Amino acid sequence: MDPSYNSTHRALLQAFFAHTTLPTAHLPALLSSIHTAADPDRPTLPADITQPDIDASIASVNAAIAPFDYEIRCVHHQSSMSRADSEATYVIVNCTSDPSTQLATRFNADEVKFVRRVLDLMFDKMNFEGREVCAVRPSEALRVAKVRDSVGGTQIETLNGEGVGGGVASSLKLDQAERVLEELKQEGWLELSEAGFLSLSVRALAELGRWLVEVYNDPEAEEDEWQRIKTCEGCKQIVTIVSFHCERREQQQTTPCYDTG
Amino acid sequence: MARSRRQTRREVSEDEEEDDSRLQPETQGRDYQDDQEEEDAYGEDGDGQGQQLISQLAKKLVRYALSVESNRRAIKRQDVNRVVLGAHTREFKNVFSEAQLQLETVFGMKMVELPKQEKVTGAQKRAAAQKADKPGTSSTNTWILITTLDPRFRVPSILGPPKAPTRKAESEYVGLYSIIIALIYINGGVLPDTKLESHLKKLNAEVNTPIGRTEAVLQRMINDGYLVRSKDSSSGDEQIEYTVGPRGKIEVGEEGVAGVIRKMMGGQDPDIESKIQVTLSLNPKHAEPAITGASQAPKPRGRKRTHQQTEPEEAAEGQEEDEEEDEEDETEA
Repeated sequence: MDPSYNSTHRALLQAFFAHTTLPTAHLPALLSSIHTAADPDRPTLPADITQPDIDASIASVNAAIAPFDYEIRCVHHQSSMSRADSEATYVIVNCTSDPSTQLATRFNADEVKFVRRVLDLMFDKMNFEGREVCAVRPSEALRVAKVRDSVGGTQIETLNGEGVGGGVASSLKLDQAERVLEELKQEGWLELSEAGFLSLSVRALAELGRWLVEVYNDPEAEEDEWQRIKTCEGCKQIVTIVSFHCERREQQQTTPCYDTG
Repeated sequence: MARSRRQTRREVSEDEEEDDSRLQPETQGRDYQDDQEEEDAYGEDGDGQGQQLISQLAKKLVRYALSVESNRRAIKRQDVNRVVLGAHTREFKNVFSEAQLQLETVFGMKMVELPKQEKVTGAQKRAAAQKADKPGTSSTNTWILITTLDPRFRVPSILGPPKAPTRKAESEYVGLYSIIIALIYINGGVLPDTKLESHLKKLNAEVNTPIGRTEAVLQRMINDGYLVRSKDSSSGDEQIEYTVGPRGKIEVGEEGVAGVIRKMMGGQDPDIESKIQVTLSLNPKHAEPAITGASQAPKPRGRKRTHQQTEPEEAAEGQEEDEEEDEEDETEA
């Protein structure tokens, strides 16, 4: 391990575990608190922390946690037009995660299956060529609280070839489903747009990106074939707000982020 | 064997590419380690592979510990065997100590064994006395993950309460269990439910709290290991009592309780430190801080309940008034 890896890095890592997401703007204050705690005789001010300091600290932490399949990633919200460092969000990501392992600790099996049904709704039913919504209205999400074959069941099984996590899913009561959605929103997995649609947050996309591609995309598809999950040609982040690509295509020269779709 | 050597070489070269600036000291350290590993590998066939297996399983255990802790569940040996080790359960000791090392060097955390559940009722004590003769029952085989960072780093601006589900809800939960644990400690380690109820009444929290109905919140504290609810029928009528649960002892402990009291009473009472000393050391059997004492499980605190009626009672009364003020402050804000 890097010999310079010390308590300040461990404190930064634990801060990330506690916060999960941190906007760039918060990092100077955080790092200065950490450095001041490490060396109280020489207080560090937030203004003393430069972007290279942030980058170096995060790079050290990443080198240490990579063997454990964790990573601190610097991501931008897909609707943000700027890719400046100041607009970024840092997210700690469990690289080998899928919704069931991520949510199994907080929700019971039926609730996790409900979340799977909501994701299927987002990325399968509400996401087809020419109309890639990748989002649901809360009322539509609540409709899959009840298990119905016509909504999820059969279709999902053919999609994943494995069924929804094994076992028979039972329906959720409406208030239980509402609570699950509310908690997912509060914990920053889902976000509600102004137009009233629920979609995956920056954090959820960073964490579940690989899983989404595995589950919803056809690995044997041709290069130009339509795929459910799309990634930005420029930054390789997942793009779910596809309507943006129309606007962006005209701006390709100025914005690095545009879509393949 | 050959595979393991190639593996370590490849890791080294990857690291070199990644990190040119700090190349010198790092590679030297690593080379030495590699030589050692290679020697081992040459020495005994299969040893290198064994080492690799252990480090692989240790990583799995680290990940398991982190995910379990994020939900305040305990790490149980049985689950570790099932989820992490699979067919290699006899490697538990090696894997555990390797994982412990990784947790400490990389994450600044460690797994601490939970203390044994103290025996509150007469029947439990008798059962414990019988068991005590048998060897090998000293371990609870249950651990939780705690930070090993210096207390200087444990300030809200660095390590606030985790965001699960939200920072606010989590802070309220932490506040409530800290106060209840403080009340139990001050009351001599055991708090009858009637007393808890009257304390909660003064906090205006006997029916509802900011994070849900009191009964549900208490149940959550019990599930999370902050509190233990037990029935004592030794004196004739059945009485429900609360004691501090294993997680409460380690995460909050007497140090935490002293902190709560200091925060609430601070500035008002110049003798606060000596009062804290007197109050908390009334429980002589757990005088040492919970964290360092965790590996040797504290002995059951079989206190005679007659002792409680004196000093701690007064301290508790004094504190409640403060809590009330605090509560009001919160609602105003």
